[in-house]
Amino acid sequence: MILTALSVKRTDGEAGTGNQIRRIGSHNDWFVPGLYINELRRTWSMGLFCAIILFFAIPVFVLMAFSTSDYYVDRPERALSLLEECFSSANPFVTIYALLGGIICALLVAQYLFDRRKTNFVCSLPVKRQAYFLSATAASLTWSVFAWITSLLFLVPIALLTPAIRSHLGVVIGGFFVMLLSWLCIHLYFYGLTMLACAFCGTSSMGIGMCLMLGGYVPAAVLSLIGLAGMSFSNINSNYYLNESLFSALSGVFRISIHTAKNKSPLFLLGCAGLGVLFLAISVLLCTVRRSEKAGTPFAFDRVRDLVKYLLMALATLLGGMLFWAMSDGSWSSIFWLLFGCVCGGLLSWMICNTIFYKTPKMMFTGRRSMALVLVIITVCTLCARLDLFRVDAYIPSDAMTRGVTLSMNGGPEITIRDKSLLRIYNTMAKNGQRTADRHGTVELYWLLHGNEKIDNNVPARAVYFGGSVWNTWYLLPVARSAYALYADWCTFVQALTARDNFADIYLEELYHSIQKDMRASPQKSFRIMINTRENVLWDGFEGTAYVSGDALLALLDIYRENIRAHGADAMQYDCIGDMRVKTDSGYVMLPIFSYNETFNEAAKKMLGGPSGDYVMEYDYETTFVSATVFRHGVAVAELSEEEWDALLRDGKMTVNTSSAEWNPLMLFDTEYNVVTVLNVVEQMQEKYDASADEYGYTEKETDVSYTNTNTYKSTLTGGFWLGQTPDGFGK
Amino acid sequence: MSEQYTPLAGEICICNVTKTFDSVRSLDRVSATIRHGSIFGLIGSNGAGKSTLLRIMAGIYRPDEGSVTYDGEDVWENTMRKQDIVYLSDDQFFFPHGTVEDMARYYRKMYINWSDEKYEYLRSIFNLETDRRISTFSKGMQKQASVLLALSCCPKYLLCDETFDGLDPVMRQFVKRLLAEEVADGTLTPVIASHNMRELEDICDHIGLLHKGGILFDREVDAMKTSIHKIQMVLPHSDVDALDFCTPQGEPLHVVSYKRSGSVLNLIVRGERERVELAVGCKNPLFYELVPLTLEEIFICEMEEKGYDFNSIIG
Repeated sequence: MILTALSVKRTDGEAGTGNQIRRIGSHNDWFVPGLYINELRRTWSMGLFCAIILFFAIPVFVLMAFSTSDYYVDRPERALSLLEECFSSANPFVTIYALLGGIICALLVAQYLFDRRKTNFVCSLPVKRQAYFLSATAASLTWSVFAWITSLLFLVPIALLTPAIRSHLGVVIGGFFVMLLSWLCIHLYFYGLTMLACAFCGTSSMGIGMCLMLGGYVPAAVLSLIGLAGMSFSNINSNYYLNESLFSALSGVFRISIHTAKNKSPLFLLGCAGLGVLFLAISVLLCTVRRSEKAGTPFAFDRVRDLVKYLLMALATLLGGMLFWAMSDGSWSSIFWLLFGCVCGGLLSWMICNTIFYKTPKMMFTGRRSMALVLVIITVCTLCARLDLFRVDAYIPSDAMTRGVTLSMNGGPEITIRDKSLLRIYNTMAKNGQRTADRHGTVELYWLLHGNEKIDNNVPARAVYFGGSVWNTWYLLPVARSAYALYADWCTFVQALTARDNFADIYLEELYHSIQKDMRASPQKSFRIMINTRENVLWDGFEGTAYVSGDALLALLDIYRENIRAHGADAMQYDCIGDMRVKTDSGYVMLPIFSYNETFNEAAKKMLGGPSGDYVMEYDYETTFVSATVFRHGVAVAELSEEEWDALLRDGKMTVNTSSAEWNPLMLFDTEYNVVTVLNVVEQMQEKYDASADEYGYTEKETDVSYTNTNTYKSTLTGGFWLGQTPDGFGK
Repeated sequence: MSEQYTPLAGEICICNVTKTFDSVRSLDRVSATIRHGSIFGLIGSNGAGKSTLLRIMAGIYRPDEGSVTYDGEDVWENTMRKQDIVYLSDDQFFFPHGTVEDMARYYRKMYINWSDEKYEYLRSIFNLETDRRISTFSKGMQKQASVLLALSCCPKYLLCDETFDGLDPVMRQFVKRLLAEEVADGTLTPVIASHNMRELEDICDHIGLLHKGGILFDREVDAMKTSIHKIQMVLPHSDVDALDFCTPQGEPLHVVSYKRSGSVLNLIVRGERERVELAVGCKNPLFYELVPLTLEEIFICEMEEKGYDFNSIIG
């Protein structure tokens, strides 16, 4: 019986016959259709799962947004904007899906690289490794596309059922298609990145770790280096470099998470897709050369393992040194702790990496020579920064490069000097100085660098320093001659400055000029007094801001002027105990409050209700209206009705505490495009604010929906008031 | 194997294959030839490199040095040549939640020689539920499923790694018979790696012995059995040493093992039967008998000769 049965074998004949060649022809070195279809069949559940997630993330999300407010469905542009936003990165679920979906789908495909049994099985099959890899990848990507398209298809009936956009179906579908392509580009980027990470590794946990490493190591390293620079160099304003564009350039994750899809340029998206394809291409190459027996081991390539180990170790060495330095007292003894931290960080990370990467503690001390080399290099570099051996921190711009110097003493009065003779005095003084380990920080200088186009464009010729700056910040460092010598230098400089005939012009008059500007009392132009956090503050240490009405402001300013005039240049010798932020026609002015302002201080205390007379507004974001509560000493003292709230705003007695309303969409701008205030407005109040805008001469304009935080859809508007014209680039 | 050796058509030729895992050299310049139409048994101690050699032959592992060729072409990443080679792992992979039918569909797409008729026939005689998840099968049933799928691919070479482990005696004999029939038909050459010598003895006609990454010998079983002999005898004198056994011409016998148990002397010697009998006859034994060696005894002998001390392991 067996013989009979076995006589049917090899019905296709011998290899090399025409029949075989024809059948093999469907297989090629890069793609196997049969394998692709089989993978599709096997992974259908993954496609369904992705589609379900996106169903909740997009169509359900849109439906919920439409159903909770008529605001969006009444006007086509609002409805279209909302639809667009639901499909953009403003919808956090979509962003998370694009990121995690790409990673998880790739990990599922790459699983065979981590399982020795499956790797053996796959490699024994009569297909090329790259053909298997690409066929499985194509199947996985097909399901990803399927999920996105499904979610789009659900949006079509929603659009049809929405009267405002029913007639704009073409626009909707076209927009969806563009969005689909955008998200696929991003999906492809993360997919490719994960595939590349997996191609380097032999276990799924290490694949995930490698993925994090590829996506996050460079930003982490740059952040650490900036941190080191910030700790080491007083003359480098590290915050200047910590901006979004830096991280956008370094990290795709960061860029995608902060940008709306609208702001993602085609170039950026093409770049994402291109990188994704490049990563996939490298992954294919790696999969063809990686050894099958590496499945189940942490790394597929020994050199990659070593590279990762020493990169991690270098970072840990740096961070360890910085951590212990930061925890120490900042003096010369901190050098010991810096070294201690470097050694501890480096050694521990090396031992941990060895244990994990070799899967045994027996290998904990492998590669001692390389470890020592990396440890010494990083420690020496850190020490060089700490001791400023390369004189980075000692850099003083030349006279020709110095356009002006803004001086500040005790964080108080600030003055910008552009007189060349004065600048030369300062520069000479600064160049003669040498750095010491202790820093006083009581004297600060800000250079307005000459020749910087960006600064020239943004900073007016007679710029006064307000709050944050766009230019580099330079500090006068303590010099070797002791703090007393430093102080003497400072005094010399100040004396030279104040002895000039035009001192009043360049300092006091400018100050007066700012104060004497028109101070209309209005909800948008109220002002506030900010209390510093110093120990000897004006009002018993309570930190925060208080707001006063327009009339009270004018009265206070009069008193303040009298105090300033009475003391003149001597004002700089007094302690600055607070700031008064005044809104003028041309912007904010920060006025220092000195301890000598006795009459002013008494008046302010009286006006604000005595010590700790600070009021903080709180309101509930989730309700349809603001339930405004007044707190005093942290205790609720009054509940405001809608009318009272409106009255407060209208009469200028109180404005919203902007610091706690950062997510609110309604922003008021003045002609200089400074944010006057940010209001959390509910839709029922829209008409009132429209009327209010008319009353104060504002022109209403729609703000861009992308400025609205999606978390506040339910209770907030996407409108705003604008004075005059819309700023360039805003809301476009 | 000589480097001048010209492989014949259909032969798998292993030439100076070396494979190292980290710092461990699993195979060290192994050479062998597997002729089509035979049943090749690959035996060896644990860690000798049997599985590694099979995986290299299957194109799973790439040798660090040397090559494995089939029909004169390198097997590595050669899809045409790999169509004729199916690898049966000792722990075969099946798709998670996959059924025999799912796996058959997969193999059908992969192997151009796949035979539905053979699959249907084997499925009926193995009596496996093809729509049941393989993960719910017992180990033996999983082995049956893997044999069923592998044979349905109609390969020319079937590389079996401990394939008979887990099969019950009846099924083991049945599978052996299946393989034997295929070999008899001239279409299949099974290469069976095992450390169970008894398993291979009754099926293999060619044996390769691996030890510590190197191949000790690569011979036909019959030739091997005729070149080594076990002799039980009783001599009139008790003071005979192993070195005393010589042919009438004075040539000493190659005595592999020499043991005395009372008056009975047990010898294992290499050489032609006639020559051995002549040498034994010179000692005028009261009684002697040439007993055939089992494959296991031959294996132990060979290993002991290479310094593999079984007594120290057992003792």
